[in-house]
Amino acid sequence: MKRILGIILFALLILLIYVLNTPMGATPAIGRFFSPTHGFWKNADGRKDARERLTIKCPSGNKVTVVYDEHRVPHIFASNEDDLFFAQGYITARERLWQMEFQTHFAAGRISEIVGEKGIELDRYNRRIGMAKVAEETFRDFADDTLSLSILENYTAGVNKYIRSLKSSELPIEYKLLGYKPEPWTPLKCILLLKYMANTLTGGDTDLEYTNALRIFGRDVFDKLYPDFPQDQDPIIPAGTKFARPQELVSGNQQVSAGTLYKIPEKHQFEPPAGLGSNNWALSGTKTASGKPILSNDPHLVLSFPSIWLQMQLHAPGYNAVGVTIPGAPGIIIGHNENIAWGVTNGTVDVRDWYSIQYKNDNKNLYRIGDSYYPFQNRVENIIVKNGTNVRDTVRWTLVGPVVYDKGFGKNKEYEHLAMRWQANVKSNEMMTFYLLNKAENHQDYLLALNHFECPAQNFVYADRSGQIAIKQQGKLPVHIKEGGKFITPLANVDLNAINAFIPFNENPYILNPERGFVSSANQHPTDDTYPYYYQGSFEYQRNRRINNVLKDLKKATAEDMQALQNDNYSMLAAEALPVMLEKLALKGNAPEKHKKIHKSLSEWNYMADEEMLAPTLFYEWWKHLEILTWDEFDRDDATLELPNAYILSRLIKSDTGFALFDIKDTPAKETAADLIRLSFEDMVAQFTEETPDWRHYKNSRIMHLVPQLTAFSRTHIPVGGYNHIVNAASEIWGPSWRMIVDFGKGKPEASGIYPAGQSGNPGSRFYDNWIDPWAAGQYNPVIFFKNLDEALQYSKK
Amino acid sequence: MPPVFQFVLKVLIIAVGAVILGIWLPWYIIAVVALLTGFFMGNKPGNNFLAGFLGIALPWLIMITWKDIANNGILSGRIAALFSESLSISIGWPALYIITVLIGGMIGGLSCLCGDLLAGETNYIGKGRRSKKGMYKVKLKYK
Repeated sequence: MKRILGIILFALLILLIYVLNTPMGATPAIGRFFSPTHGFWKNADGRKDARERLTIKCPSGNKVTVVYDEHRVPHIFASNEDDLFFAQGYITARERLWQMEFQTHFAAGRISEIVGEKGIELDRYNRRIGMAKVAEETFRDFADDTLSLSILENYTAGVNKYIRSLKSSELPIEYKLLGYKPEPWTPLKCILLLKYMANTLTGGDTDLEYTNALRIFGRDVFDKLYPDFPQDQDPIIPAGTKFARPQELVSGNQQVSAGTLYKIPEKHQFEPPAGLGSNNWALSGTKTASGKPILSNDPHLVLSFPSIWLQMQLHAPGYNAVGVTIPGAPGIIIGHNENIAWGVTNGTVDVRDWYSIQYKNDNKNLYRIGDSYYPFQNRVENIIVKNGTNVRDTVRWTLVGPVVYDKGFGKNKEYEHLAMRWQANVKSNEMMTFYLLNKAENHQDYLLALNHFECPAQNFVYADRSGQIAIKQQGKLPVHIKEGGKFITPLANVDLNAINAFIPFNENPYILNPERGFVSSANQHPTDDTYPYYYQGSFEYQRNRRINNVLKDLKKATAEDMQALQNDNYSMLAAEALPVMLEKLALKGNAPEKHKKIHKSLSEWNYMADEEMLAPTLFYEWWKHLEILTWDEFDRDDATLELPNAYILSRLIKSDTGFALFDIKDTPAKETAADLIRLSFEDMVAQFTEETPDWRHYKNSRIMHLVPQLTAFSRTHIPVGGYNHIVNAASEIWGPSWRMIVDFGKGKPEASGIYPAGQSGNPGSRFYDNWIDPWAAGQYNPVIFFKNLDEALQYSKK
Repeated sequence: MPPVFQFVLKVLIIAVGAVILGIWLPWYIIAVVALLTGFFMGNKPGNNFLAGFLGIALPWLIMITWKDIANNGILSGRIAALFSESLSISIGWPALYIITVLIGGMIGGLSCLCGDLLAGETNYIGKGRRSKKGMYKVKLKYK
C-alpha cells in the first residue's frame, strides 16, 4: 500500500518537475528560473568595486593582462595584435555576450529562433534586404586578406573561449528568460554586426514616399516640401569652398515610375526618427585656450540597454587606442590614440534606391534592363522558428539588388514589385578603417584609413597633437543624375554602365585646417550646391547652425566649453518659429486668463529646452498641433508619405503664409498660416491643465532594453533636457549615445566621455545603468589612457 | 540517536547534498537528493516532508538572502517588476523570496516523502520504526 502511494507520488513528482522545468509561452521554466543555483539569482552580481585585474591565457601561450579602472573600463595589454584581439573578444563577451549575439541574429534574420512566430515578418524583411548574404560574400573574400581574417579569427576565438567557460547556470539572464543558449561565435558574426550598424544608419530612405508626394501634390508643392538645398543650410564644407573638376559626371534626366500610389505596411517601415543624427566638431589651436586642438563627438542613436557602445583601451606593441567599441566588432570605433583623435556622424546621404520591375511576361522570371531581359538569381532563405516549423522565402536578386517587395512579401495588391539598390548590401571592409585609425599617427594615415570605408557614409572628424584638424565625408557614393535616387525609377531605364560609376574618394567632401578655425558636422548637407555631384538625403537644418553659431564666436575655448555645447538645450526651431507664431497669434487683450498665462510663459521663454521647464512642453505641444493641422493632407490610407522636416514648416509660416497646404481640406474656408497658428494654439490651450507635466515628463526620454517587452530592464523619464533638432538631442527614444571630448591641450590627448547605460550588460549588476544619471546631468568620466602596462599596474596597486 | 538529531541530520544531508551537487548538475537534482535521503532515512510522512522541505528551503533562503544583500536588491527589484508587468499585479522582492522558498521546499518535501514511501516497510537506517504492517497509527501527544 505504502509503495503504491509512493509510486503515485513519484509520478506526480516527475510531472511537477517537468512542468517547472518547461517554459510556458513567454514565461521561463519557473523551477529552473527561481533556483538559486541555476536561475536568475545567479545573475545577482555582488561586485561593488569597479576595479579588477585579470589575466587571460591566449592560444599562443602568452598571457594578456586586463586592468579594469575605477569606471569599470577594461584596459587590455597584450604582447602582440593576435593576442590583443583575442582578449578583446573575450572581454567583450564577458560584459555583453547576449547583446552581441542578439544583434547579429537580428541582422541575419534569425530573431524567430529566439522569439518564435512574432519574429517572422521582421526576419523576412531583414533577409530580403540582404545583410546575411553580403556578410557571407564579404567573408569569402577575406580568404585573400590575411590581416582582416586573422583579426576576425582571433576575436572570434576569444569570444568562444568565454562562451566555453560558461556553465549554463552562469548564462546572461536574457538567455534564461527567453530560454535558449549561446551558439559559437564566428567571424561572419563580426561582419554582420557592422552590417547591422550600416542598416541602423542607412536603412531608411524616402524614395517611395517622395514618389507618392510628387504624384499627389504636383511638382511645385513638392519642391517646397522637399527642396534639395533649403535656404538656411550651413554645409559641412563651408559655403563658397571651391571644388575640383569632377572626373565621373553623368548626365541625363531622372524618370519617375508611373503607376499607382505605394503603401508600405507599418511594420516594414524602418524610418529613423526625424532629427536622428550626431554631432562632431574639432577646434584648431586658434580657437582654444591652450593653442592645441579639441575634438568633440556625440553620435545620436536609438538608446538601448545594453548600450551599443562598450568603452575599452587596446594596447599591444605598435597599438594603443582608447574609446568605445561596438560589442562584436574588433577595434576602437570612436576614440583616440597617442597621436590622433577621431569621431563620426552619419553622412545622411541617401544610399538606398528603389526600382520598379518590368517583367518579360507573366512567368515573372525575366526582368528588363535596357533592351535586354535578365533572369533573377534566386536565394532561398530558411527561417527557423522557435518551437515551430521552418519558413522558406525565396528572395530574387536583380543586377542592382534584391526584390524586397513583391507578391510574396507586402501582399497588398497595389504593390508594384520593387528592387532595392543599397550600398550596405555590397561587399566592403569597414573594419579595416578602424584598425588603421587605431594605429594612425598623422593626417596622411587618417586619409588612408578612410579609403576602406564604404558604407554607411560617415563624417569623420579628425584632430592631432601636431595641431591639424580635418573633416571628410567618406563613403562609396554612386554618381547620380539630377534627382537620381530621389524617386522610385523604372529598372528598365537603368544604364548598367553608368550605375557602376562612383564618386572618387578624393572628391568626397573634405576640408583640412579651414580658415575659420573649426570643422563641424551635424548631419547637414556636406556641401553647398556648387558641389559637382548630385546627392540628396534626409539632412538636418537646426543643430548644425546652432553649433556653428556658437563655435564662430568662441575664443580661448576649453574642454568645459565643449561639454557645455554638447549639453546645449537651445531650440533653434523654437527660436525661429515661436516669434512668428506669437506674432501671428496676435492674442487680444480680452483673451481668457488661461490663454494669457500660456502666452506670457511662452513669450518669456529663452528657447532652452531644459528638463524642469514648462515652456518647452507648451511650445512643442503647440508645434505638434500646428503640424497636424498643416499636414492634414498627409493623413491618407492609400499612400505612405513622409512629413516634411520641421525646418520647412518653420520657413513656410514665416515666408509663404498662403501656401496651398495650409488650407484644411475638410473645411470650406481657405485657411492661411495665421489661421492654423490660432487654431493650433486653441488646441494646445484646451489640453493644458494644472497637471500638464514639465518638459522631462512630457517628452519622457527613455532607454529600453533590446527586448522591448523587458520593460523592467529599461529606464523611463530620464531627467534630461534637449530634444530632436537640438544639440543635446535627447529625444523620446534616441539621443547622444556617447559623448566624448578629446583635448590636446597638454601636448597629448586627454579625453572625457560617457554613454547612457553602463559597462555591464547584466541587469543584475551595479554597472548596468550607473552612467545614466551623470550622463543626464551633463557630467563626464575622465577617459583613462595608460601609456603601457607598467603604468596600468601602478594604477591598479593604488 | 535521538529523533531530533536524526531529523537535523536528515535536513543537513539534503541541504549539503543539494547545494554541492547543484554546482554541476541540473537544478532538479534537489529532488533526487531529497528522495534518496527519504528512501534511506525514512520516518513518518510528516517528519520526512518537513525534513525535505527545510532541507531545500533553508539553504535556498540563505543563498538568495546572501546574494540579494550583496547585490543591493538590484536584480530582485527588476525581476519583481518584470513579473508585476506580465502578471498585472504588483509584487515586490518578498514575493520572489516566497516563491523561491516554496518551489524548493515543496519539491524537497514531496521528494523526501516520496522516497520514504517508496522504501515501503524496509528499514534501512535508523531504529525502532516500521514495526507494524498496515496503516500508521497517528498518536497525538497531547490529549
